[in-house]
Amino acid sequence: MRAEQQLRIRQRMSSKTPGKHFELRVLYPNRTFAVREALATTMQALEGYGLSPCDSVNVELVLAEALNNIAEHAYKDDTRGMVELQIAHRDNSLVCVIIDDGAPMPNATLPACTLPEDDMPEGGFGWFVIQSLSQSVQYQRVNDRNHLVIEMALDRSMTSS
Amino acid sequence: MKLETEPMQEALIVRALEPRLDAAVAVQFKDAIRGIAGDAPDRVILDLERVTFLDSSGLGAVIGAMKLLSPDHRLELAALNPAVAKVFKLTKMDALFTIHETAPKGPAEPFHAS
Repeated sequence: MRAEQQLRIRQRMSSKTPGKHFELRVLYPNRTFAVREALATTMQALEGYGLSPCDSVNVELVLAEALNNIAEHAYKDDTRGMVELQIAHRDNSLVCVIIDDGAPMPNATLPACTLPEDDMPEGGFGWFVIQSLSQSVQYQRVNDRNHLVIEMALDRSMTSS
Repeated sequence: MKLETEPMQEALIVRALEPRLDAAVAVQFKDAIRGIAGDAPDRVILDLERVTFLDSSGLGAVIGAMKLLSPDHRLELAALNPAVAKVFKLTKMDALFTIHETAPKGPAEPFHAS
């Protein structure tokens, strides 16, 4: 089946005018290159809502880190499963809820969000990047699913228009 | 990740030809650099002008490339797009590299270090 057909997207919005509240849902199966496709779909859907270029970069980066983390850890070794991404625009922020059926976070808590201590680290930046670009990050294990809730502040230019 | 190489003066320019240096191609990118490392001169300049998105896996791959090339070669970076530069700055990994504002276009053109 073609990748595009596997992506399910639903958008609900009061209007596609910048500054109006909106909600977006992207659902995709975990597999190679799925994160890329999900990000492309999401960023394309967000394009019409007037995010500033800086916000757009931050949102794509934060989502990339969160979705890569699911692919690499929750669905380790190419385990089958679905990922659901819900994005809601609330006043000056974007609330992203990411749900997967994969393995829980170690100790059922968020990993440390500090920079790696190695002089030339090749990994371990992901949570630091998410935390640095977000207002809040929360994790919960609910009914054998991981729920990650990331809230990001947006430029005033979007909401004041 | 497709790469193109071009010898220039005493350096080798390695040009990334795809727009995303991310988790999907991080391992491939490092393998490609490994293939280049053997014959490279002391200075290797990675031209990232065409890369518009880099995530932390891509960042890790660039750092991995630098480790692969050292200590015989020095990896420098050139022409970072704002979204790419942001990741280096945010993680303070910009301090590890010499970063040129633009990639050298011809033998006569001098480098512009940022």
